[in-house]
Amino acid sequence: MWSSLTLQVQIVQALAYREQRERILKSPFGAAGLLVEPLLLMAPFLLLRVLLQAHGSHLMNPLLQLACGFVLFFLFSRIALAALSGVSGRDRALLGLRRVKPLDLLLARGLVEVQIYGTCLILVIAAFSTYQWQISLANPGAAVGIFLLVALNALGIGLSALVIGHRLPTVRFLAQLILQRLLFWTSGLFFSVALMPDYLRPWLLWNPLLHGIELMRQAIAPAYPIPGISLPYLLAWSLGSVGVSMLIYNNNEKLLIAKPESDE
Amino acid sequence: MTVLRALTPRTRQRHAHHTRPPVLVQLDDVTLRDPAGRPLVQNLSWCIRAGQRWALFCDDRPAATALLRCIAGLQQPQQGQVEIKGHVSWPLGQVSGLSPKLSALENSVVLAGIYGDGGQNAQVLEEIRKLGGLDVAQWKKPIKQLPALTKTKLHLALSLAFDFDLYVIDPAVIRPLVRASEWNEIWQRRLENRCRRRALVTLSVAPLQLDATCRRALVLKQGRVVTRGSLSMCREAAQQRASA
Repeated sequence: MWSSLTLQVQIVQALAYREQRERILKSPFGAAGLLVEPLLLMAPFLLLRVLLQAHGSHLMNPLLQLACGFVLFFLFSRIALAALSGVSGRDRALLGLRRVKPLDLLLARGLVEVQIYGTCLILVIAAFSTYQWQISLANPGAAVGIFLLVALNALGIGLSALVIGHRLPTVRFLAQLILQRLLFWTSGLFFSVALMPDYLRPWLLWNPLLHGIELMRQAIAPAYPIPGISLPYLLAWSLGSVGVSMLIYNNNEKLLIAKPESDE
Repeated sequence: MTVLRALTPRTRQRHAHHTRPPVLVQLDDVTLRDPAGRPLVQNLSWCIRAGQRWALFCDDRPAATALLRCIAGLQQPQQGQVEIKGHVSWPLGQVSGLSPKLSALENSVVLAGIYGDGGQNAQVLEEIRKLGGLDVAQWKKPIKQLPALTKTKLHLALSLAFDFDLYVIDPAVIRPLVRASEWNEIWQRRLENRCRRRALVTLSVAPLQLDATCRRALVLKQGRVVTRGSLSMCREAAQQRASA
C-alpha cells in the first residue's frame, strides 16, 4: 500500500511539473507569469476598491480583505469549476499512459494551483506587512490550515464536477454559466458577512467558500468579526465532498478514461 | 496423511498457482471493430502469461494494430472483456502524452516520474538521450522542432527506458529507422536486453526478426484465430495461407 501511495505521489508530481512547464511556456512573462497573472487579475478590483473608498470593516485592511477573498476564490474556481470542462484535449493524451488516471490529472492541477495561489497569498501578506511595517498575519497555522481546507474542498467538488460534466454535458454548460457567477457574488469577496442583513445571512452561510474566506480573514486579523462562520462546517464540507466524490469517481473512472465517440 | 493431502483438489490448485506464471493480460471473447463497424477481430480469447513470448501473424494491418492497442489497454473492445493484470507497455515507439511544446528533456523527466524509480533520475535521462541519438541542443529543443526521424528515435528510446512485465511491439514504428539504415545493433541489443525474461507480443513482419525469440504464435485470418501454437508451426500455416 505504501509503495502504491509513493507511486501515485510521483505520478502527480510528474504531471504537476508538466502542467507548470506548459503554463510557463504559454505565459508572456515566463516563470514569473505564474504569479504575475493572478495578481494582475486581482489588481483592477483592488484599484477600484481604493478609488471607491467604500465602507468596509474597520478591523481589517480593506485591500487585504479583498485580496484574501480573491486568492481563495480563484483557487477554488481554478480547481473545482475548471474540472467541469472535463479532461482537456491535451491532457487526454496522457490517459494513454496506463498509469495516469483522471484523478492524477486533477490532483496535479490542484497542486499547481495551490502552489501558485499559496505563493500569491504569501506575497500579498508580505507586501502589506512591509507597507504597514507590521506582520499582517496573526495566526499563520490557522491560515495554512484554512487554505488547505479550501483547496481540499475544491478538489472534492472538482472531482464530482469532472464526472458530472462528463456524463451530463447540458448540466456542465449550465453549471459553468451559473455557478461561477453565483459563487463570485456570494462568497464574501466584496463584503463581510458581519455587515450583511440578518435575513440574508443564513442563506449566504450555506456557501462553504464564504466560511473559508471569512476564516482566513480572521486568521489574519483576529478581531475581524465572523458571526455564524464555522470551521467545523468547512471541515465537514471538505472531507464530505472528498468522500462523496471519491465514491462517484470510483464508479465512473472507466467512463472518464474511455475515448469519447467524438474523438474517434 | 501428507500424501493424501497432496492429492486433494485444493492442494493441487494451490500448487498450480505456484507452477503456472501469473496472467498478465486476459482477453475473453473480444471483438474489435473499426469506426465504420467492420469487425477487425472476432471472438478472440487469449491469455498472455508472464515470460511468454508471442508472435502474431495477421493478414490485416488495421486488425493487428487494433489488437496490439487492445492488449496495451489503449483500446476498449466493442464486445468481450480485457483484463490487464500486469504492467504492460504501450506499443513500442508510440508514446502518448508527450507535449510537443516541451523539450525532449522535459518530456523525459515527466515520463521518468511516471514510470521510473522516482523523479529526475539523471542516469535514465542520459540513457534516453544517448539511445535516441540526440545532442545536447536537440535535447533541450521543443519536440515539435525535431526532425521526424529524431522524433521516432526519441519515442523508441523512451519506450525502451522503462521496465514492463509485457512489451507490446508493432514493428511498423521501426520501419523508418530501417529505411534510414539507423536500426543498428545498438537498438537490437537494447531491445533484446530490455525484453529478456519478460513477456512479449509482437507482430511477425519480415525482414525484422523481432519474433526470433518467440516460442508461441497466433495466426489471425479475417479477424479469427486459425492457428495457435509454436512459432514454426504458425509461420508455416501463415505462409501456406498467404500462398493459397
